[in-house]
Amino acid sequence: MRVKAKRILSCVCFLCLLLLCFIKTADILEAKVSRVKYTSFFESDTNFDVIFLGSSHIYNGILPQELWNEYGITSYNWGYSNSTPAEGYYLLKEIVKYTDPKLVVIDLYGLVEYENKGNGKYRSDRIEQRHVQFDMFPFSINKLKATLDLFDDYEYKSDFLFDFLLYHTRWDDLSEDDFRIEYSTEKGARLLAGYEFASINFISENEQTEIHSVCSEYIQPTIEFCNENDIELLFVYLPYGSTEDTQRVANSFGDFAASFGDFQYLNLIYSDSVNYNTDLYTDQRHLNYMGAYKITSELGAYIQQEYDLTDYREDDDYSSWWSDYSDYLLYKTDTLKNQDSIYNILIMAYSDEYSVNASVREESFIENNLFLHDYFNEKADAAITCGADSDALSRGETEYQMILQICEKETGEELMTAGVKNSSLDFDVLN
Amino acid sequence: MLFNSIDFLCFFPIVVLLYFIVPQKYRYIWLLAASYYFYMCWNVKYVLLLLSSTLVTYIMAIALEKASSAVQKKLFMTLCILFNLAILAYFKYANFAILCINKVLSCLHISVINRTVDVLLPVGISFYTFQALGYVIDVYRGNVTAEKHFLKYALFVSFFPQLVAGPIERSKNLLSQIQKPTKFNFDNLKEGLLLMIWGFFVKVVLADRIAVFVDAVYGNLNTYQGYYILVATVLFAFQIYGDFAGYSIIAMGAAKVLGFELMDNFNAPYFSRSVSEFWRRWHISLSYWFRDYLYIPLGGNRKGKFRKYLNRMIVFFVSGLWHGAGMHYILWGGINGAYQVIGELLMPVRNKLQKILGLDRNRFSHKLMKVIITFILIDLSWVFFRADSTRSALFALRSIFAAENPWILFDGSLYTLGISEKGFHVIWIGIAALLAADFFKYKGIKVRDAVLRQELWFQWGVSIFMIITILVLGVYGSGYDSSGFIYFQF
Repeated sequence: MRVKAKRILSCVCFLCLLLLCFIKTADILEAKVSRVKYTSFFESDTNFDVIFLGSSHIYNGILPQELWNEYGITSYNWGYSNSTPAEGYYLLKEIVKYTDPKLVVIDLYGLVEYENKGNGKYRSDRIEQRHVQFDMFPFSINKLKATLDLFDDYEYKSDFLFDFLLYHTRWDDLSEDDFRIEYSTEKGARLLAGYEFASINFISENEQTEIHSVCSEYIQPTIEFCNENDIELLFVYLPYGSTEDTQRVANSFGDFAASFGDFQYLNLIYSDSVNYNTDLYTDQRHLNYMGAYKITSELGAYIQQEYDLTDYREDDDYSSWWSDYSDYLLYKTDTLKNQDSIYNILIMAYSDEYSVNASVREESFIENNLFLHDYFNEKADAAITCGADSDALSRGETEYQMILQICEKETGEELMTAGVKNSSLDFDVLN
Repeated sequence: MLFNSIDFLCFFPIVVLLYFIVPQKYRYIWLLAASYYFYMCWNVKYVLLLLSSTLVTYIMAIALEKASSAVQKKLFMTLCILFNLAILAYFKYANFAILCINKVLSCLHISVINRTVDVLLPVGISFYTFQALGYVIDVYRGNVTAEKHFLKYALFVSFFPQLVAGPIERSKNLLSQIQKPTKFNFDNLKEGLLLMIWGFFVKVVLADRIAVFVDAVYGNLNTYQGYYILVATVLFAFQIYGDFAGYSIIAMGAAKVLGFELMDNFNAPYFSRSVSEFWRRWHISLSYWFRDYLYIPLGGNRKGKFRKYLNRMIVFFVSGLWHGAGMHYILWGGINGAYQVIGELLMPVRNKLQKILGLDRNRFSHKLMKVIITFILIDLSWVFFRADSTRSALFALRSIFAAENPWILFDGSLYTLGISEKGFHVIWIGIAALLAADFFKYKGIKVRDAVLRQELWFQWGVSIFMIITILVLGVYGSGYDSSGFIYFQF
């Protein structure tokens, strides 16, 4: 009997040790994107009043940290590339296990754009992106249902439930980042530095089209789930380099949302706060940081006005948000300093924390550049000094057309001085 | 269900646990149910074939044992063999036969047969058919008595660890173990699991990784020529070995956990010093099956040299056909037979050369040379096995001998075919480990015994290291088209 007990104990110990080794190995091999992006959600000691769900439009377009700074709203951005309301439905069911949102904002872009059909049902695409959204959640009945519902492929399903099946192949791709993880400070969002001018043909907001989407079958369950959990729902469609067809779709979502009941829908394609001359990212399909900053501000004002959300900025229990915001500022400044284009530097310096001073020989240098012209018109703390002493624009051997100085507004600390050489905005970092 | 699948990882522990919980005298029923479930996971319908083959061989064995005359016995045995071979022929060779007939007909300018047999090859049909036929012939010869207990006999034919890819067990060995099941034995469990771990390593870390490269090259022979094919051909020798031996080792391990001892199917084959030795070390259960049930009945080496060589050629042609329905498989078998016949015919010349050159057969260098030459001969024959057709095989061989692109070995081109440089490092380490294990086996040392003799921390360390290595470096999961075990379709 003693021998038997000893053997059973030895087997149990062996299995425990094996399990420990496996967990550690799985931990190292796991792709860290999800962890980098969402750890701050799971580690937060405060509630998130607003949750953003949807595609990359909301992921890149709405910045929870700016929302906090401007309105004291606590929010988290769970949007991600190619995501639709279908994934959003299951995601929301997981999210509410960790926080108690009062409002959920759903971006409807993916509803029509990413409508993948499989036997008449919506099918999730881009498995790796779905992993980023769901990997941080442990196994649950909801996750199992999502897996069975969203995927056809057996291997996708098994990978989704047991992600080691997918990540074990990363052994030849491990780097320092897998061992020293730098967590994102953006509360789920991702700000983009980059610029491309887009010429958009705007049509009337009254022009509509019919919405056909198998994915729309997830709207009703989402509404029911929100009702059960006392969560308000707001549908949005964010600005981007839209075509006439996609504008018609955006224009039609008002009636679409209304068909489910008394739901608010914000079509921000025609928002006055966005300037399509300056606010689109290089792919023209997303807002850059400047555009995101503006649209976040507009959406924040709307939310503050329409929903009864508390401003926690003075609340000591939410002091961690300010320390998170400080980290976010450091990240923004760091990102700003690492840009290789004047456009990107200016985009990153757009928020109120930074002041921008430009010294130019002639004002026409700015007037002739659409981006610079609009930027200096719009940014509150931007100043242009014209006809400055040409000695000031000459540094060493080089003569510059413009000297750009970016400072932290509060402390006055100079973050960067750049000498712009020509109309292509080639530049040297001078300080 | 594949051994390297989540399904099997769930299935096996449940089977083992319940097997030892069920009272000893009913265990065979549980094992039979598990074996049929295992088979049905591939195709439910084909379980009928397994059942009919089992039923016919069971009845015929009893009938021929009870038969009063030798003629009757022979008749029953012949009928039984014909029935089983007919099923095998229909499912495996019908389309090949139509193809051959059409080739002949088109040569004679006669209209060809337009019909093909649209059936899926039942998994493991060649294995269980041969195992069942071996049993019937053994009963006919009086080597074993006919099994009266149908369920026990059904378990002998369908025992899941070796059902779909061998080893092809002898009734004398396996039936007696089914009749007298052993009690749970902790040492069996440890040894069996160690075997399974090693089998999984060889299969999923080594063979499946090599398969990615070999498939890329052999799937595009026109694009990847010369040294690409040479490297792929050398690697294929280890792929097929790792694949098949890996499966056999997992089968042996799984059986061992359940208290069954299966025969060893591979014994360091690439350390063979001649082709005939290779065939005594490679797929041993099949080689011995052909020896006992085909070569010896044909007269073996008792009827003169010509008949001996003829019999050997017949056996190897049939062996080629057994491996696959295609002319290139038959040629592969024929080449292996020819190697041996030519080798024996040239023996006097070789002896003379050895004397003239003063070669010492006992020297290490001489033995090594023989091992290398044998490997080259076997590997060249593998080209016919791996290629899709005889034409492709000949093209590959021509390309190897006319290879003019040695730089691909150095400029990183090899790493662009699905296996990275680090992946190749894994392959080289895996091959070194496989050869090292075979070297010890060749010398009569059992590595697993050596491990099990060590202190507990070492046993655990080795086991955990191997399991984690398999989980991390194994080729499985999405993006990986689970290639299945090569021998499954045979």
